[in-house]
Amino acid sequence: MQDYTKLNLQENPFKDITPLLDQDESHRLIWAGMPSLRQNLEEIHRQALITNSRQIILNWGTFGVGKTYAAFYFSDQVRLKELAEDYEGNIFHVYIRTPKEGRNAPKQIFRDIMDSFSLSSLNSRIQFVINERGEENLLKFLSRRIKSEAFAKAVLLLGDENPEMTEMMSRYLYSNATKTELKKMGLARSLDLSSDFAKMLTGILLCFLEQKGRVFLWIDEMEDLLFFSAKEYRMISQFLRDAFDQMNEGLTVFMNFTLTEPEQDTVRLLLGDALWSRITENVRFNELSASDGLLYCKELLRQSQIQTDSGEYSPFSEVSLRYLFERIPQSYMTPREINKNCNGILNLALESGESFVSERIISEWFSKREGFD
Amino acid sequence: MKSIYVIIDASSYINLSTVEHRFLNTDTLLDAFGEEVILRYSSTVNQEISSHWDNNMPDSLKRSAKIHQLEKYGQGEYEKRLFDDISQTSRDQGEKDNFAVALDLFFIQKKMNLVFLTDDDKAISGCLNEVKDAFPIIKIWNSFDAVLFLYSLKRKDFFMEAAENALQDLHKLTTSDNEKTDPRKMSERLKKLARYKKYLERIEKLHKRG
Repeated sequence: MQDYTKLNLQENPFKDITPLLDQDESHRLIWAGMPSLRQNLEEIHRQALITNSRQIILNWGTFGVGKTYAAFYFSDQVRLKELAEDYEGNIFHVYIRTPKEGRNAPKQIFRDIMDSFSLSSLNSRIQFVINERGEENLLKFLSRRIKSEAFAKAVLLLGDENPEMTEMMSRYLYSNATKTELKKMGLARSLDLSSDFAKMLTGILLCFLEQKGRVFLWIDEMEDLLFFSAKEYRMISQFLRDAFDQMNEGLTVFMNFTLTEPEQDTVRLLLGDALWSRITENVRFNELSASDGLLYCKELLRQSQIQTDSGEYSPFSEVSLRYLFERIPQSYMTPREINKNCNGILNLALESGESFVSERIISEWFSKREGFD
Repeated sequence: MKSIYVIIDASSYINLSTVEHRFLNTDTLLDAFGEEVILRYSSTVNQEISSHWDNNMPDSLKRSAKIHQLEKYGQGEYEKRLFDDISQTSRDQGEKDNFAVALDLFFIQKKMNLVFLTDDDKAISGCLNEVKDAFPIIKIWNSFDAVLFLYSLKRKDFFMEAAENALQDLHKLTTSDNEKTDPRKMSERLKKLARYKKYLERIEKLHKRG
């Protein structure tokens, strides 16, 4: 592991070019720069926890601008509860990526969401709701909401205390239950059509809303949907619409959409009116200006600086950072691109035995990059 | 009466024949397009199509009828006179020969409504880059343009939704894996799709009452 102390740093704050979802108390993600974007997203979360209404949010912007990072940053339960201190319910954060293949996309999305919850947490959550509401009442409630008694019954079986039943239900969720098992469970048929998956998903999510629960579902890389055939796209957008429409409360969906295009109308044309009309808010993730970049670097460096009196950008200076930003084309001015460059520049400075980053080192870095870009 | 000559390359032919089109008693977009224009191609392109033949394409007899036999010069002479880099390989041969077909139709048969249809952007900006500017009589289209043409012409049968679906299918077919994984190229592809959807809206707006 590199020793960055000579550069006045405990560690290299730019090393994470792409974020990791795996966070613990010793490694909480920090938000650097882009204050209005953070406030905007915080406000959406706060409103979700206060009002309980359904929100469908479209996050869009170029690649590397922080959409996935935002999904991971706002997965922190402690952070979310700090946003609405009076909130006493449970918060469930689900992060999935859009399937690359269109043929079974609804099934894949359903499975990814189930994987994200884990079977044991599904079981205990539904058991809890059955105990709270009573089996009959819950069955009636779910049947009415998802318009299917068969799938409402299947949701209830997910909360069954019998381990053999839980085992069979896990196979049911993954469409692997045999006819004998279906008969044993008293279920008429397995999950097959995309509308089946939408109903089952909604039924399960409704159980997570019990006692002021709130589900935040992040769907990353939504642009991949647009490389499906027309038939596949129709199927997946119908699945999403069914799932969204049956949940009129307790759900916030963030759809991350990468596009190097500033026109909102382009996104509308691509998504189609059926999905577009359901979006309650859209959040534009903009490329950074030089002053945005300075703020971003300052706040990131602050976390790792050893001596805080060596300048707010140490081991860089404002001049050297501006020199760097001039070399990054405006359409590439994103946190990822800044991380990529600063990460390499810091390592080059170390190799060269420097204790601060000069314009000469930055120049040298770009000459090297030209060689392998 | 059909008056537009469309000189189509193998990839566009395959793409248009892959998109289902159940209107006007046709099965594919190629069938519907072929009802409205006169399709022509070189023998090289016909061979390329044969090597990718599928059930939804016309049979070899029907395809052969669309081959244009060059009259002004032979294929080799056209290539020598039109292109600086005479290829030793078969790279872009279909595009080069098809361009010769377009010119032959113009110079010998005096056809004026000539469309060169290809989805190969590399050939347009590569081997055809100079010659296409030298002969502006030949319009360059891609498969998406064929959808706009059909939508303009047959709006009563070819509805907006069907036209959008056709664009979506062509978008899937014409995007390479490399373009899907490179974010900038991917964005360019998406912007192209959005641009053509916008064109459909424009056509729709022109015809809308009130």
